[in-house]
Amino acid sequence: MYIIKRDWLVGFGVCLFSISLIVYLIPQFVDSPRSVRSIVLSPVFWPSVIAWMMLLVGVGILVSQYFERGSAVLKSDYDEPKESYSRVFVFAAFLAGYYLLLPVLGMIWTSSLAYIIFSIFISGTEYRKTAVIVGVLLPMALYVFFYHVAGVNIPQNEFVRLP
Amino acid sequence: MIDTLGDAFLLVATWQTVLALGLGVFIGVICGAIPGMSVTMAVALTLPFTFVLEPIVGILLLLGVYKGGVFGGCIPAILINTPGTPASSATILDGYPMVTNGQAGKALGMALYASCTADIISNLALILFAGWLASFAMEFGPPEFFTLIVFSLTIIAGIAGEKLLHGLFSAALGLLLATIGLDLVYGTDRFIMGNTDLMGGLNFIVVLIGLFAIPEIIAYARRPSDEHMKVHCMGNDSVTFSEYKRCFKTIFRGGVIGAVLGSIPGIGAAPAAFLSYSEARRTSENKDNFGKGEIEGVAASESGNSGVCGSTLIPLLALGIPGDVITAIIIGAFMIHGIQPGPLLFENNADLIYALFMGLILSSFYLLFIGKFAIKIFKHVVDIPKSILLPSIMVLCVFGGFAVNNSMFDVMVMFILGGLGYAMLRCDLPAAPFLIAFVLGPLLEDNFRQSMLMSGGSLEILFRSTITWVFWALTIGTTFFLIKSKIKDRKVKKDSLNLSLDIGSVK
Repeated sequence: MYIIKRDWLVGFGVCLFSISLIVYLIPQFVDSPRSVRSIVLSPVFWPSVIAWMMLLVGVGILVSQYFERGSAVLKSDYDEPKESYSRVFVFAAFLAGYYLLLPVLGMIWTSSLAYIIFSIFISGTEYRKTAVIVGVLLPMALYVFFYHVAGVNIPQNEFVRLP
Repeated sequence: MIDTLGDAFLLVATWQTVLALGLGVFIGVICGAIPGMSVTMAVALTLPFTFVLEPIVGILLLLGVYKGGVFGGCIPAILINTPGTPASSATILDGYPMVTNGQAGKALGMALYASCTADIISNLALILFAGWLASFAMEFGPPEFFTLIVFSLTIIAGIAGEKLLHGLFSAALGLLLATIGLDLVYGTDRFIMGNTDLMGGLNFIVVLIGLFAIPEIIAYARRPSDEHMKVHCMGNDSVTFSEYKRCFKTIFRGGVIGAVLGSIPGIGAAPAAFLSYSEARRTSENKDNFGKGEIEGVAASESGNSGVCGSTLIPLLALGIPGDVITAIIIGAFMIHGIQPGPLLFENNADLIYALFMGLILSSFYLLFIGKFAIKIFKHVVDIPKSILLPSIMVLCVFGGFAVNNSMFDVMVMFILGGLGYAMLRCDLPAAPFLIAFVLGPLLEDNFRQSMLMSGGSLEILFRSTITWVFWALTIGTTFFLIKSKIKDRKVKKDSLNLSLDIGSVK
């Protein structure tokens, strides 16, 4: 089985992204003072050079795909069941939940919870006891190191605070 | 002279000095091995303890932490694809593929031997050529820096893999993300979008963790299995003498590159590692294997970054100029003890200087023994089942990402870049060019704009000296040969693919 389609998509994506940079993102989000002596000194200059470079690369990808459309490219992707895509979305939701819970439960308990969920429910580990023990002890050990040794103020919750 | 050397020996040959140096290297290795604990942080945390120590004991303690930290950074870079320090980011390129090929011990062993050898080269450069290198370093202004970085960026064409254009896009993305933050000349916003957390730009460690560790975790979560990596035999995968001998040229070159770049204030270890890697790849007989688990690649990057350690002291001791943040902290330790680094230091405190040199040589041997011990312990990481290891890496990443700036925003950036890294993985966009461009991008832009400020916008300044011409010539020559070899490789692959298809159709 052979694929070429993905590189077309990458080429179009790169072109669209670079055009959006040139047309909207750079003029909108890069401030440049009016009294710039030379264009090469402007804060806009470097991002613009990069955006144009991206556009050239995007066009290059499309052109190379056009010329290679007849030739075969071995499929580099592995065959995967479609549910593996849904697993990525579930995992993205899990990471979002992990991040959102950090200020609520504190870094230690959220990390313990996230560890156990990841190891037992997402990975389906056969080492469940180890997962629970490591899930509780690892964030605590990291807390001890970062808070007491490195002096990093690890966020904790208001309910169960560690010394 | 003999008297001074004798006095210096007496300063070093005390149990406090010997112990402090060993302890420093040990602390450095441990801190370097923890993502989020930078060497700078480790040296800064050790600094207060040196106040009560004798000057030589305190300074050697800090130098031990520095050297140990630079090596320690390679341990997570190799084992879990997450560099502990920016200096070890080039080590990922071949270190982690070696682990997946079941050669964790070899990768770590070569990293250690390369680090120790390059460290000795760097120390010798400091001892023998401090004056000469300091005057050479003074020849480097922004235009010379700019051409040096442009030359370093040619590595992108080499490590982009089969798809050069994909690699170039990845590099451009890295350059673009490096522009986020306040503009260094005018102080205006660039892609900040009203978010004050973005004013300082994206943190390097956070980007590294996000780009390399999180995609591994996502890829695992997509298809979880408890397959162990192939490293189980402790004794059978250590570096052999013939492998060390084969890589010695690369290590020596990396050490020299590190020593020269380290003597130039403001460059740091990461560009030295990339340049050493680039040169090793360019000249190696196994260049096709680079990026796929080539032991010479690990030797090149580790010798490049460790080669910087001794020579960063050249501008510090000879001129009183700190070469980077870490030596700026060390200069603070000198001053706290009433010692003013600079040319007069060699006259007024010659015994201290020689004692420092002796301590530095000793630290290379400490690094060898403590590094070996650390490898024996950390090597077992790859034997841990993935369902236990990867959640641990995730938690470590969150703590490490937060610890860099005490910022929850960095954790979010890390997760977002993890998503980006995973998308890049799926689209065959290599992460390595992104990483190199992100590291070198700010240096490239800053030096370009400083050059333009100096010349009033004239590009002629970029050709002002012999050094700039040499780097331009090297850049053009390297790019030409890289592209030529890419086209040749592509043609060979295309022919072999068509041949295999023809055979298939005949069958």
